[in-house]
Amino acid sequence: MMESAIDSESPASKSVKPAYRIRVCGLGGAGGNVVQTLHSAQLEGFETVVVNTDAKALEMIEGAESVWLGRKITRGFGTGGVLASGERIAAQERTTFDGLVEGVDCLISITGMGGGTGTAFADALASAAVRADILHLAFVFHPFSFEGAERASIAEEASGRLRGKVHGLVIIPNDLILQAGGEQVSAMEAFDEANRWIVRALRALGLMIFKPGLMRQDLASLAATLSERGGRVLFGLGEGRGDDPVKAALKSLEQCPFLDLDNDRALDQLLIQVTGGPSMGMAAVQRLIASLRERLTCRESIRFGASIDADAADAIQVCLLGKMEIGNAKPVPVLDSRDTAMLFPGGKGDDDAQVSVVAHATKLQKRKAAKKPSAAIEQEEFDFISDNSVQRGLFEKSERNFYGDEDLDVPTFMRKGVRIRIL
Amino acid sequence: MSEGTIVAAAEIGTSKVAVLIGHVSEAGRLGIIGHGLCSSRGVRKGAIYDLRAVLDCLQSAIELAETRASVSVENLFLAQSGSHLQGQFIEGIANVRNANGIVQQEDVERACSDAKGKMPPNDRIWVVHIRNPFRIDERVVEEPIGEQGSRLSAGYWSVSGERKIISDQIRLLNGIAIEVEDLILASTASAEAVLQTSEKRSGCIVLDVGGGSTDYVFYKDGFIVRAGVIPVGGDHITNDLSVGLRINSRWAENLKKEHGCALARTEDKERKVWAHGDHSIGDRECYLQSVHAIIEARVRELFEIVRKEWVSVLGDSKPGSGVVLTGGTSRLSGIEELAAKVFATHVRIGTPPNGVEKAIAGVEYSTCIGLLMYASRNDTIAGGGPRPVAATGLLRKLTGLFKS
Repeated sequence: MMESAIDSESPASKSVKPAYRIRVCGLGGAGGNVVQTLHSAQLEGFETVVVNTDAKALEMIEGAESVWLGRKITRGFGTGGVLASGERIAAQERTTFDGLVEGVDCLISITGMGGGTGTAFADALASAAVRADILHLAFVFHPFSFEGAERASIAEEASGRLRGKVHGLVIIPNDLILQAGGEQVSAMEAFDEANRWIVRALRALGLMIFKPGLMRQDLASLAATLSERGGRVLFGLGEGRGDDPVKAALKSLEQCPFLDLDNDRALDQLLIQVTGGPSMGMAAVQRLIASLRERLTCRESIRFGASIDADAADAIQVCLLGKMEIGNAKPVPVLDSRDTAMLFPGGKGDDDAQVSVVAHATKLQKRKAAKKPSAAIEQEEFDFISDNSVQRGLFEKSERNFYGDEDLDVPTFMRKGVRIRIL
Repeated sequence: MSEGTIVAAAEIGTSKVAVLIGHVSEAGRLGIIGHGLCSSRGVRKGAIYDLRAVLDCLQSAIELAETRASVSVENLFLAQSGSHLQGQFIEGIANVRNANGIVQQEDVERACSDAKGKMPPNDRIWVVHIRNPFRIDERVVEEPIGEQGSRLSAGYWSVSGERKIISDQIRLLNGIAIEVEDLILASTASAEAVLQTSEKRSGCIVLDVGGGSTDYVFYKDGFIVRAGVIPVGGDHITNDLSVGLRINSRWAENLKKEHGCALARTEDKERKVWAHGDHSIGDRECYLQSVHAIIEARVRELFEIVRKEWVSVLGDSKPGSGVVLTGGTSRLSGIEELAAKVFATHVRIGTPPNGVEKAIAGVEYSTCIGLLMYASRNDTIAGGGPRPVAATGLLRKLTGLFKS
């Protein structure tokens, strides 16, 4: 699949370009659903695998390799949300997980946390990726509040553990996905909506990595942005069209359910990828990036990528990936506008032209290398509580406020599933 | 100010610190002679988390009040709120000693001290014992002395607080050379300010919806049968708006005050309002319907919780005098209608009694004014006749507080 994508667009580079292997692993039921959606969205370039204990769920998977685990323990059924049995299977199948990451350059895992299968497998797969020392970006869904406090706490705890093992962990709270949908959306559609977000995320990453001419640099930039394992990741997507696509894209980015722009902590690394149709002007890109720079502080380096997608028509898409190491260095101002202008020396005319430049904000690039890893680990625990910060807002740092098994600090409309229209 | 006595009261709330100084004439009439207000820092959900910040606020509020009243405060009554408070029903029993079975004063005292002698749960101290009706052989009596029976029981709704939290507050005040005369439950103080005696008799619910928490009191037959705190207040509405509409909390606060309504009305689905209104950078429009839906969900839930508590104490009966709402958040438009829906009874907004200076006449000051009313009454009681057991104050409550 990937080969053909490359061939059609840059036949000349075929012989010199190594083929990157990027594997997307859907773990458990929810993960499998997403991978299935990827297939129907005809996303190219990724190897897709679904790992599950539930044979029935695996049967429905099309267009992806499926790996059936734990047949002796669950006899082909799901784990029924029992984490212990998922963990037992994961422990027995260690070599299988090692096999899943073998020879892969970048692993993207997708898991619905809080149940038995996905929760356990995510951890096992992350451990395998650590052993193989490959780049690992993990997307996890956190359960709806109405699924109960227990599931939520299992998910939170598991994500906290996972964070230390992966290069980037993107948490997608299902509650927020539900909010983002329109009125009168069914449960099925809400889950579909969640899946669509992942598809969009992967499409954005795919565009960045697989588009011709910049392959090596772009997977490398992804790796450099995510740098070490652990730390926090800021990930967001926005899309705008119409009269003022830049404004619309920024607005949509602001409302991306897993992006917390209000967190005023400085980022250490930032990657901004802008994709637009052939008519996208460089002035628009510059404006977009300038506005983003106003909102985000980045200490070390910012990477910009801009690509033209013939199918995008008049839409502009922006994908933001930031990394925060844990630790408190002083923020350093990023590029001034002069530098941005330099980055985009006049757009190229042809449809598939790409401009991608790595820009270094300061000379502080090496500073991070000197950072003590032990400090990062110590801070991990503190940071873990704020996983839910999107939901607790002002009360993020205060004690939980339980009434029965509901945390009253979490907005009522979320816990009750009241739909709010924001756009 | 030669005649009468000076009383002072302080409330450390989530959104403000208020200090009032009152003068109680010899005839027992209370006049407020000074007030000091300061917006609060270091308090969240009714509980103090930053003592130093609170001290600063408290000090400036006290100074303001002192300047206005031209007196200096040496001791004050302190309101207690916050989720660390927990209530429980305790009961003291005394067998009637008189051979003819007529209850004497001495029996009453024994029953009361038996109840109050019960130890609070570990690491907690009693904040207040609220007396419930006496019972003689399971028969409820209003005035036990002179009644006949063999067993007298005295019931209390007793509220205890975490020892550390309370001792921190007292130390704080002692640090600025102020003695705490007594601790008073914020909820009962608010009720004192906004209720008529007749309402207490026929039964009612008082809800003081503040910035960080909601204090409630249930009255039945003139007695407080339940008092409690739910750590949910106006700040939660702000936060819900901020999270739900993805705007910062300052704008959310503004949106709540300008356009907030506790009832999601169905008309005007497309109407939008500006989050901040001054068209500053980043300001944007939100659907009014969404604003209302978020607020309604929160306030409705709060009322449902209170209603559940009511049902757990008093079953399906309705409070005769309905619900009285007070506290800053009761300014929210539509909150009366929503309360009427949830509680299915009459609802009114309770404001402090007339004759109070304009600056402190609003619903936000019910607790503080009630506190002063409570304090002044206590004082007059202490002035004439034997001091009842309930008025012996802080000293008894704090026995052992500073040990070790």
